[in-house]
Amino acid sequence: MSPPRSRFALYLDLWLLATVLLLFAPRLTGLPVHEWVGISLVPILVLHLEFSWDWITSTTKAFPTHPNRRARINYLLNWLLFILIVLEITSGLMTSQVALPPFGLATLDDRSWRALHNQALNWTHLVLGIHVAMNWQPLVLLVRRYITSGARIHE
Amino acid sequence: MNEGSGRRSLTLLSLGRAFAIVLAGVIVALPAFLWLGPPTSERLYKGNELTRFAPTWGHGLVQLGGETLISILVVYAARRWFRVRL
Repeated sequence: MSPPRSRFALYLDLWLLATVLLLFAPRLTGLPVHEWVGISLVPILVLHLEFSWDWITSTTKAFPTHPNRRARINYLLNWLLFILIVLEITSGLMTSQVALPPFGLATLDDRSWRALHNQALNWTHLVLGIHVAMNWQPLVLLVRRYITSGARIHE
Repeated sequence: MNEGSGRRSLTLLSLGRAFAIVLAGVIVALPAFLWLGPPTSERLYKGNELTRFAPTWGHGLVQLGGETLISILVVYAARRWFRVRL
């Protein structure tokens, strides 16, 4: 990845993390902002995955025979996180009270979809933490690289 | 000219990937939709979510702080005790 591209990817990752943390606190944002921030997660997530596309395709191809067990677990974990976030977004859209009804989309605060939204949230919390823990070293290296390159620029 | 067509093909490639990601999302969401069906009034939640989540700084910051702390704890426990790393 070229330096400007990886810098953008780093900012995007931090933005994504901040967005998810904000979504974990609907009492701070209120329901309307919570719903719109949730919808805004879709393009950020798509971009995040696009930036990881080379890794996704190469690991998908090598998955059954990949020699590194941790890489295989990481791959499965990323799929699990993707599934959980899709379920979160879908159930959020199904029970939307503010964002979708003005567009004529009939939604209801259905108890079953609501339960799915809340249960997926707990698992998302756990898997997201493991996802960050697993990718901690590359993330720290990237941040350190930009801090030192930034310091050099200011010298 | 070449640069323009290169940029165009990059945009098309990017759109194709975005389509694949969204398609994967639809494939994941579809079983949930088939399982639960569209929202119905028989399962309507009676509470008022708008009032329940009326934003307040005190409550909100406590929730944000708590959730962030839980996330930090999960990352810490995973790295420190469960040796989760690549």
